[in-house]
Amino acid sequence: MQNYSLNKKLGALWHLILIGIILSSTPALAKKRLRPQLSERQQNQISGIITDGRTPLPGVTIAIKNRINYAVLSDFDGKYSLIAKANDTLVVSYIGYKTAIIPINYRKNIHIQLQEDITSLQEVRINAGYYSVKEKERTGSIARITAKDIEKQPVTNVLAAMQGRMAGVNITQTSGVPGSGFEIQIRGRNSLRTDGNSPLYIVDGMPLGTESLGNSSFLSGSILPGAGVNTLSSLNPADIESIEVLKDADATAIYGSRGANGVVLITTKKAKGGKTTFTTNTFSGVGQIARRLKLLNTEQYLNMRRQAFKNDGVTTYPANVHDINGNWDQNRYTDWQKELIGNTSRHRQIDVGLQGGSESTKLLLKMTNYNEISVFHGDFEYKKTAFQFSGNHRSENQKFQLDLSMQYVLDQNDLPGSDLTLDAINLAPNAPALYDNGGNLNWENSTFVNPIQKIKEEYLAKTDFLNAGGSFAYRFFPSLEFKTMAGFTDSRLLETKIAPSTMYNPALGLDNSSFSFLLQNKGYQQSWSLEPQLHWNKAFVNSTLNVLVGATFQERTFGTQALRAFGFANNRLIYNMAAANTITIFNNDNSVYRYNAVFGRVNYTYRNKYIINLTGRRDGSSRFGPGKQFANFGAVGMAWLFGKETLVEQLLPSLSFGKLRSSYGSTGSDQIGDYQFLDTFSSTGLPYQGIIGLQPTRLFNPNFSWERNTKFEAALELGFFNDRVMLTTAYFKNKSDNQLVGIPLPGTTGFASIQSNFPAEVENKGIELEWHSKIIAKTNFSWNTSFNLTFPKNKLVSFPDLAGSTYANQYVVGEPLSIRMVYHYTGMNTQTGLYEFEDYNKDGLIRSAEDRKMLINTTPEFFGGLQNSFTYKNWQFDFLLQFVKQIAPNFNNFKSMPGLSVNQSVDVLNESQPFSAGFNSQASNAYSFYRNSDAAFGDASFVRLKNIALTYTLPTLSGWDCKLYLQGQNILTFTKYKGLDPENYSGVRIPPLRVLTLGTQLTF
Amino acid sequence: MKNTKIYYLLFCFVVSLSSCEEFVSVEVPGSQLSGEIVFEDYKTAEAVLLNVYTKMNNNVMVCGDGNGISVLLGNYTDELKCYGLNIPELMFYQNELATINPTIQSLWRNTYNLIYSLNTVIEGVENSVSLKQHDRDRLLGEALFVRAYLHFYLNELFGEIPYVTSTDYRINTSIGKQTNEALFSLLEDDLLRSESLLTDNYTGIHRVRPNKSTVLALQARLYLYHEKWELAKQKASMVINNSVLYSLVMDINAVFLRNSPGTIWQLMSAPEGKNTLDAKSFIFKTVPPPSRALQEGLVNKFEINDLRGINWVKSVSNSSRTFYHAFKYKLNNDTSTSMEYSIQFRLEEMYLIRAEANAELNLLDLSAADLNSIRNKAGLANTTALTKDELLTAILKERQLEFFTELGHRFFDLKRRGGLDSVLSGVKPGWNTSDVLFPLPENELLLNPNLLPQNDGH
Repeated sequence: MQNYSLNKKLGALWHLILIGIILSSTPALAKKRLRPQLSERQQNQISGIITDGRTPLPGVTIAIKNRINYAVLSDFDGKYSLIAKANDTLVVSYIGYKTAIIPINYRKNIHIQLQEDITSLQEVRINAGYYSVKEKERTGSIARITAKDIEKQPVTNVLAAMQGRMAGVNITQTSGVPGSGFEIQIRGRNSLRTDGNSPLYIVDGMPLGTESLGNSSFLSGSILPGAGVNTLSSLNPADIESIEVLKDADATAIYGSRGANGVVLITTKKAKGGKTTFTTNTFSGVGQIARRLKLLNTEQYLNMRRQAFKNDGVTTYPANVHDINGNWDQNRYTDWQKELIGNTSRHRQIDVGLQGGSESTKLLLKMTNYNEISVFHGDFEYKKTAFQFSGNHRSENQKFQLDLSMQYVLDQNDLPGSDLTLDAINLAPNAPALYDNGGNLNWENSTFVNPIQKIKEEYLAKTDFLNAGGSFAYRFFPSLEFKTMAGFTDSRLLETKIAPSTMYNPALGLDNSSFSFLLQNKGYQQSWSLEPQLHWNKAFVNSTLNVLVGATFQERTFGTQALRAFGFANNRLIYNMAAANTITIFNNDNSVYRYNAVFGRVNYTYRNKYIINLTGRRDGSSRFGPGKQFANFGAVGMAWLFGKETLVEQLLPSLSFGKLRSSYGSTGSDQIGDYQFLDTFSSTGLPYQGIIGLQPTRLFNPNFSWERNTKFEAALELGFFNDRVMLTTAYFKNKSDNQLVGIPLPGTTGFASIQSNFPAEVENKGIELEWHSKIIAKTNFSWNTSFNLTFPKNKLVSFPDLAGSTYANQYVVGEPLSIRMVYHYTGMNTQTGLYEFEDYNKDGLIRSAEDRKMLINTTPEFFGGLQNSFTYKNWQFDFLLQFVKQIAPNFNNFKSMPGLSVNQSVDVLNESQPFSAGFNSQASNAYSFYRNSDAAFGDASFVRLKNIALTYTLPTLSGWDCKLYLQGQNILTFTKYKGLDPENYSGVRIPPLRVLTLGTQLTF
Repeated sequence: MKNTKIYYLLFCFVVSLSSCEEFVSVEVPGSQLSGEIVFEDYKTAEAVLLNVYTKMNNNVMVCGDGNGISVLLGNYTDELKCYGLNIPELMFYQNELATINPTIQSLWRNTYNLIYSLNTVIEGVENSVSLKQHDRDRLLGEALFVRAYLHFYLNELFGEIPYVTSTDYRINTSIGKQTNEALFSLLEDDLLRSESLLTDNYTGIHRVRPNKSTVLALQARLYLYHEKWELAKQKASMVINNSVLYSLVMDINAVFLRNSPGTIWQLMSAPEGKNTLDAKSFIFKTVPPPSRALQEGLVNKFEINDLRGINWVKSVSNSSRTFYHAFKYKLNNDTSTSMEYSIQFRLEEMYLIRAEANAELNLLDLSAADLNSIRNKAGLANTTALTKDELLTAILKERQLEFFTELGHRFFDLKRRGGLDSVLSGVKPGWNTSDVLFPLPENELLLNPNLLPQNDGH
């Protein structure tokens, strides 16, 4: 409603107030007397239906020109009725549509067809966190997707919904396991620390702690990549209204020390009011591994093995090479990829929602239930139940406003203890059956390590996530508003991993429940934040001024406790800790983080053409030692809407919009964990002589402070042909220095790393292109496209004494951070049958430091997406192509030497050094160099049909609105990549799944 | 009136904006202690030291599982044959240690991690103002001893290594290697200091904390390895003569029990009821062995009536084949109270050290007497060796049979006696002369170039 524009000479502020006043007077106040005849002076009832030419439009505002406190809304069927004089004029407005001015002209029934407003994109208000701006007036760089984009994608993680849709935002899915994580980089990698590059996430004003509560070293590490259970997977995509990504200094400086890596603002769905409506959305579908490797069959494999022994000169097969010494069936063949990770996953979701309310109070309640069966061998299920509540209230005089929203998500993820992808690739094709005739695990007389063992090690994670937030606002004067935002989040995780004795080979003598054990980790994270703010808006004759000042108080407490229960009377009691013989707590940790800041914004707009936006923040964080806790950040952003200059309008009539904007400023990063400056000792939970031991947690180092990031951006935004074609070109250049680095330390220090500020400088620059066009916009047929393309460049600008530092063999000045230093493969020596490598220092030996001089850049050269949306009558078809050009480690990087007892890609039949079974140390060495050479990297560029969605809207029944849809994710991938998946290129993780879903949405 | 309210609210707002430093200063969390206070209290200072023992018993260097030298050096020499599928261990068995072998890396890192802990104890206790003198001496004495003990093994395995005595990472990041001579004198100094600080009283029961005799035992071993015969003899005698505390255990099956009077120092398994990792590592019940078994060459060396061959070796067979495992530690399961702890030093070694030193000093009768003490205990007749060389050969064999699969004794004996190549090239096809030293972990060389050069042959 905010972009309802009546009088363009007034500022946005006056719109708001005016609309508020209009909305506040209810139609009930109008007299409802019927008049037999229409006359100019009499009030008559006017009614009709409002449509977009196809379907009725509910919630359209119908006002009467020059009558300021009267307006009505259309109901769900698009019907409206109001009282007006016969010579009045109706003003009909609706977001996304052109405002229609319709004289009543003595009519009683007026059906109105609204035209879609193709310039409306410019009028949309963009959430910038503490304030919002109209798209056309923004000075910062903000990318956005809305519920419309999200609901077309059958995904469970909000980051998945953003993939390929935003310029400058590179998202990769690290595993196809349900509930697992995504990596996101907004405008490149700023920090030398690989874990210091995640953005700040804000959900309805509350910062979301993204540190995992999970225990990845003992519980989740082998199944979920990275730090384990990801907090973002606690959010329900179906509850999200919009996601804004703040990219440049102008947009992020107001987040100060937390904004260096960009800010992701997530806004949940809010009650819209109007007629009470009930919505259900149900879908179900299937998923599968999208790509598999072509591996050797039994005959090829056994030939490779025999050849390998022959090459090594070993004639009698040793007792432990069961695959060829006769212990295993020589004719058996199993496609382990199919057997272990080849199941079809099934998923379904039911979503019901109710919303409604009056002009002053609106409520929404929504519930979602999702479940998914994994592709792994065995039955593993991921379940998610989400509740969403939103309510708001405005006082009659519009001075007081209260907004509340709450999400509660229960997430339960049942998974095998380990990802079986590597087993599926490595297992010999003639390896024995998984089960014997009795249905027990087959160990083939202790010759076989049965991978089902890892499935018996069941991993279960339960997360409860509550996010509740609200704001309270009071407008003292039309120009001055006091607002306080307060929020609370509570996230709890309970994860368990069991090792029942049945997972062991009975020959080990461990097949007794007294050897069974349970690992359990409990984590909690609670935070609250309070942000009082003052907003002051003032309109002058030719200009407007917006001022905002505010403060933040935030506290987060975090705790984990992990324990091990060993020895059970019976395996059925394995989840009952009371039945365990011994219970040891092996980890107990808790921490407090406090954060305090003041921030402000001054925005001045002159003649609606010249805009200057100043933002700043003074920050204090408990993560730094005494005396290092506070720092200042700020930015200036400017925009010139040159399209409105008379000269431009005359010279370039087809140019409907033109804006030049630029920003410069600084932000920081405090992503280093808590208490890193202290040398603390923590309890190990392990007793010796009855006393629980203490171990040093880290080295003492009080002198580190902020990582500072300065950002510059310049962008040109152009609209042509009434904004039917919009083109944005942005150039950015960001520099990060004073790098906070966990500097890897040699073992002699006792630790793996130390946190310290390093005077190294990293630069990220790039060009982003965004193009939106409405190629065809007819009533029955429309075709829209959006395209984004990013060329990122990352460079280590300076690094004092790099050669003498611990990074000497990791980074090179002038090169990207993502380089890998590898050997240069020169080919196979046909005489020795060994792979050979460039001997850079010509000393006749291949040695790691001296000869790993070949640089491979794994930063994508460019990436982007192309989205097309077609509508024809009741049909809508969308598809998204995602593309990346990059080089990445391939199959050769993670495979063992051909000839060892692991299966290989069929490629080894054509190109390989002579097979060796491991008895030829020269061959083993050469192969280990090969794995770390440029031969193990290759083109991992891909074009992926990321998403398709076909939607059919049933012709309107009375009061019912029904849609049917077919959606797919990761449908097709075009790539030359040698390996499982060019996106997560890990080789040991399940690649992202191909998912197909059928669903219906019903509203009444 | 209305304006007053507004001004009041604005005033509150401005006050709330002023950031306060106190808000962002947080206390150390309840689950951690800052370094300063740990060493002002005996209980917490001791807990840091005790954690080192726990780690040594569980997963570092001298532990009984696949991370420890009992298993690794057993595989590396002619004691064990690896049947398991654990690649890093298999590489030990095949004598194909790559510089990136993860076990090599963890041996190095985990040991230095414990040395860091010990250095925090040493520095913390030295700077502490509130610890009592005898507590201070005890903690310092133990920490110095363990620091020497761990460096001793690092030196034996990796050759020239850094001797870390500081907690300052700026020093330790670029620390260089010490020569073998320097290492010897550093070890000697730490042990002498420790000897002067400790008494013969064990702290607590079951000899799970080192005492003065433990220091003497390591000194004896150190001097033996460095061929300081006189000193080795002297130190070993000091332990042997302490008959109040130590005596040879005549029941061959009671040697490894936790209350054995022959034990000088052992590492405790906790909680109560746990036994050793060694037993879990070596004992198996089915064939083929799931992880590792004794090499037949070793089993065949026992004389027919050697009680050790009968009681410390156990066979497991199926219809076609027989395999053997070490059965010194007999309990691979939990028991109601712990019965066995992992022994680091036992009296038998002192006898054999003195025997060897006496032989080298040409005190052949004395030498034979000590050797016979051990032989007789094992149910064997007196030695038939007469000359110095014969005696030395007999002692070496006795050490092999007495200490097999215990903390790499076999490897160190062959190494110091120059027998590695001649003995191992026959039984181990992968053996090279340069395998006498483990490779330095590649990652460490990359992080600290002062550790270069790499050991020969790697």
